[in-house]
Amino acid sequence: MNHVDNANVLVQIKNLKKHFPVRRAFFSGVKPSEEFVHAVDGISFDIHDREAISIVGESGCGKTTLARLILRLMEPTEGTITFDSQDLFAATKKEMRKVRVQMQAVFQDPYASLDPKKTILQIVSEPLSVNHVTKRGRETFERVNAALTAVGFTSPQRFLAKFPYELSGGQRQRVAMARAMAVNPRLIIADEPVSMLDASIRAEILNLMLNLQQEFNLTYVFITHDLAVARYVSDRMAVMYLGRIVEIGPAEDVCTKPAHPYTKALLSALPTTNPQQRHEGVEVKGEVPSAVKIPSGCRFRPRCLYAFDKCEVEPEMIKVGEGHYAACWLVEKP
Amino acid sequence: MLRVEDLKTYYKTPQGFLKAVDGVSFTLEKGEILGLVGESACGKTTVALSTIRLLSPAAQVMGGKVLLHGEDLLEKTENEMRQVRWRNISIIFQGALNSLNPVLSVKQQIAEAILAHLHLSGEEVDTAINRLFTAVRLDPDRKRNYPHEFSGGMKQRVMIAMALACNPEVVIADEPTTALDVIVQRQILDLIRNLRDELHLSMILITHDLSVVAQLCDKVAIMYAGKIVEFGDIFTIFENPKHPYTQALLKSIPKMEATKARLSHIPGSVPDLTGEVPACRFYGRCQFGQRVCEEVEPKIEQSGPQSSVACHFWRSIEPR
Repeated sequence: MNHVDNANVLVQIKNLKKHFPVRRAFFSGVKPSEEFVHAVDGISFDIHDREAISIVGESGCGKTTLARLILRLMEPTEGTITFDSQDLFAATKKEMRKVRVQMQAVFQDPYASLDPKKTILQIVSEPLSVNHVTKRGRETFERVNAALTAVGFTSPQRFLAKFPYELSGGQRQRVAMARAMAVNPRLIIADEPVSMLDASIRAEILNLMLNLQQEFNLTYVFITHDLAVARYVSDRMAVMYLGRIVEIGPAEDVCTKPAHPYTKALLSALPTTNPQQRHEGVEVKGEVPSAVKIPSGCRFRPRCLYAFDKCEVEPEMIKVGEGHYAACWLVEKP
Repeated sequence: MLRVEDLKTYYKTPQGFLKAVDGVSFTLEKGEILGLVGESACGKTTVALSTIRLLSPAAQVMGGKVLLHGEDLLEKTENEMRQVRWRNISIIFQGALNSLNPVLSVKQQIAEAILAHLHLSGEEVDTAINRLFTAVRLDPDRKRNYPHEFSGGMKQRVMIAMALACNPEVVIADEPTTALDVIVQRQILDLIRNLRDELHLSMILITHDLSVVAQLCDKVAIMYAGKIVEFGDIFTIFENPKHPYTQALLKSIPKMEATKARLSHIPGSVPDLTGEVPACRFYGRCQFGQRVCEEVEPKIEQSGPQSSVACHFWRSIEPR
């Protein structure tokens, strides 16, 4: 993105691409190198220090791939990510280890992301020992206790010897948060952290995450399909469609003054809890095309109700407001 | 039309009976969509499965009635019940997207459902399937396709077509849009509403998502730990909820319209339904709970012209 921000940049993402080869049956006549899923297809944006940014989009838009790239759980096809000025993909193992303690992840399913055979103590202390953060057992124990207290366990000692199955869904997600918090990270990447939780517990976890951000000066990247959750927790919001960011800006502005037709379609489709506000229809046609055959020009063009001839050229990010950009020719001022 | 009276369904567990559904009553009129909402394990799916008698062997209906046009379905034999399913009441199962058979074309699968209940010729079945596909806004030419050739939203349309195959009066939809993205979800909700209007269907929509209910239903039953705590027409319940649980639940959902006001959550967790449970099952998590709530079960009583609630203190507690 070409915008200049005064806020400190923690993570800088430039022209990031990740293409996965499509695996075909041997006799299909398609060579393995011929087709690619364009999961992330040219993404550039900054993550500011101490902000909460949400990446929203439908399934298959590439938001999880983006999260995995930022965590360097996979190598990109193209592009760079710098964390605190350190180029992640050029970093040596030793350098990477230093970075790893500064960024942690929280995953969607608290039933699957905690090892069922480990106690809570073992789970929360693992990042400490793996990253050689603490050397002595006593120190580890204290850090684990502190992390569990931070996420709202009033008497953490009672939980240390328990196994995940003994905890409720909300408690498990708090343990997952404690595990991430144990190494005092600067950045937490949360991939759909509340989508598996019931409504009454969801609010508890979201509030906890907001409180932790205040208390520990955290930076968050929230990956979510839920625009209402994104608006609630984040300062900025980036909307992804088919491997690209189509709109980015202050969460409030993206939700109240959406500029990209896709963002508008998403917002119009969102059900509200007000039965007086019922609406029908969506402002979009067709279905999401396959990420193997990306439409030429603007990739939203085949589904867009407002497409015109200029859309044959892929639009750039155009400024629509303060820190608010959309990749759509319609927003261009004549 | 469909009346469920004091339904009790318990699961046998090594620790004793788990009272998954414990005295649930509601009515469903013709052409009406009733939302059955609650969080995981509140018993909403068990209510649905009890209604059409497809419970797992571990479950046992301990009491109550399921009256369809006055006839108690719980007293029917398995053979009689087989005639009721699909023809009178059909169900769209949770996770339906993955319940299509991958090695049969969707036409074969719908035909199988039709032929099991109606005596039709091959041609008649073909016409019926074309009609169903048109009804759910799918191209009839695609009926020979296999499930993997459809997107998630289209598979859900196929499942809805199948549920409609034998012209049922009542369709139960268990979390029909849960695995879908918002745009597709909106399209399926629109489809369900249109089908209800066109075919005068009665529907029970089971979901955890209050916003889906707000968009689609005429009436809503809020379930908590095996009981209906509040029941009534959609506008009354959403605008003026009386039960502390309904109030708290509505306050815990992030809303697009709202500003950054903090959400509130419900402290604690659902009681274990195998052992002794407090008389009011929400006692312990309820900010208004008093001694009487632990000892005397609140009966469901009329709280307005179109609504009823099960709480000792519904008159005195202030919403919000």
